[in-house]
Amino acid sequence: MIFVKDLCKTFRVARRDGGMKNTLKSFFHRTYTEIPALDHLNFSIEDGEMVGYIGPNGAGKSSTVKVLSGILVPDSGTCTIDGRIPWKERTAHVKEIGVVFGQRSQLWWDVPVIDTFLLLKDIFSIPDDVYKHNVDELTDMLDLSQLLRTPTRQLSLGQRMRCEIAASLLHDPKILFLDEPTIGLDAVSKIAVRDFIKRRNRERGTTVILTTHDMQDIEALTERILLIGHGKILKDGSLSSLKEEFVTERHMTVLSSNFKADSLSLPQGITLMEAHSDRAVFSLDTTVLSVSDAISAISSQTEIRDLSVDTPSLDTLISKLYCRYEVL
Amino acid sequence: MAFLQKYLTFFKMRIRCGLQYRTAALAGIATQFCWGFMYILLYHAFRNSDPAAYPMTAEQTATYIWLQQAFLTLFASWQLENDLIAQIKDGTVAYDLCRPVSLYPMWFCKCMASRLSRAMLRFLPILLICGFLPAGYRMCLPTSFLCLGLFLLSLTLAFLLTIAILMPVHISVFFLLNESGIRSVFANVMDFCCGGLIPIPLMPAALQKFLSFTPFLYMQNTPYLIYNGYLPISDALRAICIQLCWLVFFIPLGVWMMKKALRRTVIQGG
Repeated sequence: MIFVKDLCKTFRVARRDGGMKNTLKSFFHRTYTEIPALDHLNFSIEDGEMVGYIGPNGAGKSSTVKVLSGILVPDSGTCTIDGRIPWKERTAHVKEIGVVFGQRSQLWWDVPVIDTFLLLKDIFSIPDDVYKHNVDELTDMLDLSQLLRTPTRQLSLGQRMRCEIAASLLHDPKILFLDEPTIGLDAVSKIAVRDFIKRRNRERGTTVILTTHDMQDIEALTERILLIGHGKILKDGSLSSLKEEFVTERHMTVLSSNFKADSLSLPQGITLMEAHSDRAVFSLDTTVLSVSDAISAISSQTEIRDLSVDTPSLDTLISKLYCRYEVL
Repeated sequence: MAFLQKYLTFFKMRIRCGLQYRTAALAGIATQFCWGFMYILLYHAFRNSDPAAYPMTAEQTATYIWLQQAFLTLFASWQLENDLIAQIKDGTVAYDLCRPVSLYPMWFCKCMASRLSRAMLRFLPILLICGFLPAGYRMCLPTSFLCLGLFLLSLTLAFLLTIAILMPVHISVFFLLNESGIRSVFANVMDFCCGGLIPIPLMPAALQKFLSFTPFLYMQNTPYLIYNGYLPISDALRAICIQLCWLVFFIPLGVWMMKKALRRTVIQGG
């Protein structure tokens, strides 16, 4: 159980304009700006939940993960994870968590991956049988058999990321923090990583907190979304309810043999976006007109050969959310 | 034991990494021979001009120089642990903080291991070959087993003290964000004061007196002088006690600085 209340952290940033004159000036006098990275942050996460933590760049996502994993000390506020305060009881706390920072590496560069695993085994005091079982299972699920004996420096990014994730799960953590785990991965690796995280959550009940800019990650993995902006939680809800609330637009593509899309008389709530000789794309506002009404309005005026109705991508939803809350 | 196991494994891992660099070791051995001969020739020239004014015998000088060359990597003051500094600078230290270990002992182990691994490849060949050189250039045996024992004890303490003094230098990167300034100033001052450039017995009396109030006199200088018989046993025992005192001062200082540094550390970026 993760419980966060009124968490605040402010960073002091020395700012100046460019150029020689300002550089010299800043030698004697620096102007600092206070940036509130976390501003009275509140949320709680139950055991076994899988939560997507999203927000634009600089919203405070990584800062939150750092506080939760005990490596950043906040200015004020409380945070308890299974009854412990992460930064005060760091060593006890980190035994229960696994962390993957997508942009950093925990594997030793010059030695085979398995050496890092053995080191982690002793660092986390993992019993022999548990270690063996976990390595076998992770090797199987993440397809690591060839990779473990390869030096880290010779792995591709996708291979390395699979090893990084395995490394952070060797000690059976109850909570897994993933900070952009799919950054820079190809489609196959992304899917492998997502499937694995899902399975781990389902089979072991591992709590997963995922920060990402990849909306497919969110769509594939998480039911609950926390939207952060300006250091505050702006929206906390399920992905489907967010979709219902924010995605009221549908794109309707109609194929027809004899099309004069321009001359159609369209009811309110439907607008023509693109017109071609054999095809037209309409935008439909479902708060005004239902999908079936829209189809019948068009089919009464032209012969429909084929038709598809699409929901705009999750990226569109998120950018709408960001605009709505003015977090950009 | 389980508690120590973590640090021991870490130590072994670092040693394994360090032992990979065979070419560097061979090149190091060659360099150290050249330096050693050069120094011995130089000091023999000084000694021949006025043997009465020279504090050590020719054998003692040669022995001091060869010990210094053989264990150079244990005490090298300019050799900061670049891994650690890079970790602080690029934020990978975040991962070290996500481990159930204390950072100070872990980093201490890392420094020990990388220095030891470098020394392990070098000191035996140097000492072996130097034992068979012509008189005046030969590395001598210690005068007694007691002397050898005290040398080994003092060598260990001097090694630990060197790392304990360099730990705050590493930790200061948390505050300074760049190590090049402190590295170049500290490395040179420390190297000189420890007798790395000129053996301490050859320095002016006033400077020797001053250095006796600093930890520097009790680093590499002490074990070498015990080995070559320059320090009588009673002085050797006293020096070993002072080594212990300095260790008791510098280790808590480093632990305290580390605590301070981690409280205010912000791992920047994504």
